[in-house]
Amino acid sequence: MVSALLCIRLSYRKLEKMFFKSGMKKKIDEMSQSHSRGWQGVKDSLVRFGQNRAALVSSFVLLIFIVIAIFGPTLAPHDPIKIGIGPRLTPPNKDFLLGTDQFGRDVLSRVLYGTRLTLQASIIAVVVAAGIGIPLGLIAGYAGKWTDNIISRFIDILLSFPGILLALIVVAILGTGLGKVQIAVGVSLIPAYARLVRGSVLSAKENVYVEAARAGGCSTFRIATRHILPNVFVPLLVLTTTAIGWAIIIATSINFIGLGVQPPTPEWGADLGAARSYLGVAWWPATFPGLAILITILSINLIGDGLQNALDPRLKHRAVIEK
Amino acid sequence: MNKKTVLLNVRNLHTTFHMMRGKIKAVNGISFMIERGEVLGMVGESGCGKSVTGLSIMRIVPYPGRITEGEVLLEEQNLLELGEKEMRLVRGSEIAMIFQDPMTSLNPVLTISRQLTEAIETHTDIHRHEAQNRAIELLKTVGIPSPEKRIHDYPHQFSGGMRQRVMIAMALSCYPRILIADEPTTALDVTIQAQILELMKEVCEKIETSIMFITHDLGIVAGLCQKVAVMYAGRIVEMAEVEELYSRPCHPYTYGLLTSTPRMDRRESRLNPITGLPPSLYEPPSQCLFASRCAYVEDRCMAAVPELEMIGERHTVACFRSNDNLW
Repeated sequence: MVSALLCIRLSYRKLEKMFFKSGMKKKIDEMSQSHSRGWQGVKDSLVRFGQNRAALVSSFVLLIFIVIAIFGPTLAPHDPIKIGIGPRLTPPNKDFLLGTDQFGRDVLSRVLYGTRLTLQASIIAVVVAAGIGIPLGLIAGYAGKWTDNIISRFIDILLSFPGILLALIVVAILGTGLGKVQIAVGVSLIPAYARLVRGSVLSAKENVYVEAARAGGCSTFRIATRHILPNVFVPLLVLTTTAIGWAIIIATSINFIGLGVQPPTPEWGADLGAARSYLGVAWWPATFPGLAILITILSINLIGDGLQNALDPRLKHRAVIEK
Repeated sequence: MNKKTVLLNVRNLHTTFHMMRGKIKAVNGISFMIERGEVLGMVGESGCGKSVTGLSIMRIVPYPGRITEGEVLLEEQNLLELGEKEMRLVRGSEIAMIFQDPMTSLNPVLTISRQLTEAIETHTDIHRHEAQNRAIELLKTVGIPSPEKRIHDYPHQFSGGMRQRVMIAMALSCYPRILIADEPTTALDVTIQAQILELMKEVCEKIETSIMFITHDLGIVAGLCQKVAVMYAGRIVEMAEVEELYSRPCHPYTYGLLTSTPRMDRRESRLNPITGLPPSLYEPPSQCLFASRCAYVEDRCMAAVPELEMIGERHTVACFRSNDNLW
């Protein structure tokens, strides 16, 4: 594990160097020089994000994973499902870069194919969570009284279960399968969205500008969506990045225990789960999917941190530092 | 402005806040009129119901407040009988409102452009691009330099005085017939105050908007308004033309307010404050509510509530002793 982390640290260093050589840094710096009003704030945030090296390199890593997710099938050297492409449990060599698993399937191809499933599952889950959680929080916060009470108690019930357990319950109700895992993970993330939005709405709606908007003839819906929701935008963006990380953890965990996608579908969590019994004789079929999960979540979380710092208005005075 | 027609007629308006401990009668049966092009000043100390009156006319009294009785007639239309949808069309286009604190009454996360065009788009058929031009025009009218550039800025890039100018532009964007200004200059320093008042007066004269000016500053009222209503504990206690009221105050409370204000034309080393506090508005007793602080109190003041009475042309007062020449 330590060596794996060291590996990541080293590769980060390399990527960082690559990035600074590639001139992207220069471009971002140039962008901050141009003075078109309105976009200035966005640019400042971008520059601040760019100065956070961990976040910057993480976005680069995530970008690579996204490319893999899109082009994985063309990049993969072998068929990921076909059994006996090579000898069983061959260690990494030049034919099978990451070795073969217990059925003689190519681990590299399976990891590449799995990228799409894992990322797709987490993004759909977050869309489900945001799509249900944001309106719920908005309604609860803005309507108040008994509406708020009903919605908040419902959210409290959801919150009383740990995320994975909640997802497991949904899987138990809906049954196994990729689509159902996505919904299950989505449901387990609803409380995070609903609570964040509700809290922000509660504090935002006390502002005089909401009263002023009402005096200007705005409808309740318009006030909620145009005046209050933008106030929640930054925390929502940060939550969404971290939520994708959580979604990957929960989704791969469900797959790990075999309640999600069914074999022989290549998926990181499922592969990790299937290969763990052979860990004593062969480390590679379990390690590489696990490493993929680790790196993805780490980059997503670092991006989340970077976004939080870059978009926090209280840090605005910490103006762009010239290198 | 030679034709004096009644534009807004408020009759016997009651607004009550239903609290756990009981009812607070924040506005307790007030009646007044605003004529076309007129500037009415509403004065009174904190908590006397000035702002709630303004909010009641707009029908945006915050929970748990409710308008329990009365009529608000805009020309012939009773606003209290309108549905919420119809009322929304009145807000902003017929009656607009400016709030006290310009620092918080603009949304910090939306550009000035979006906030200005919003009112225009809500109430007219004008498209976004044209609305933008009109917004720039409005900013020019209220004296914002280089409005084409500033319109894309966010509120935090404006100073307090500039924000209040933006608020005025926003309130006047649909040429409302009545502008309710709820202490619009209280949060500004004195020189900016004068500029903002001058601007409001000028712009409202140009588009023939009547103003209901809520304030506790008698100096502003003298300079800006034609008519004054003095409020005390949820009621209007005296109402008259400005000069009449300042030269011949007939209610002890008005007299007290005037003598507790510093004046440039007299040398006085001390001001005379009104002693005591306004009464609690939880279930107020049926007596003159000023009785406990009044120097001229009599037995009859404790027995009944004095009603507003005409004591001169366009001068009404709610005091049993208004004819006694007390001072």
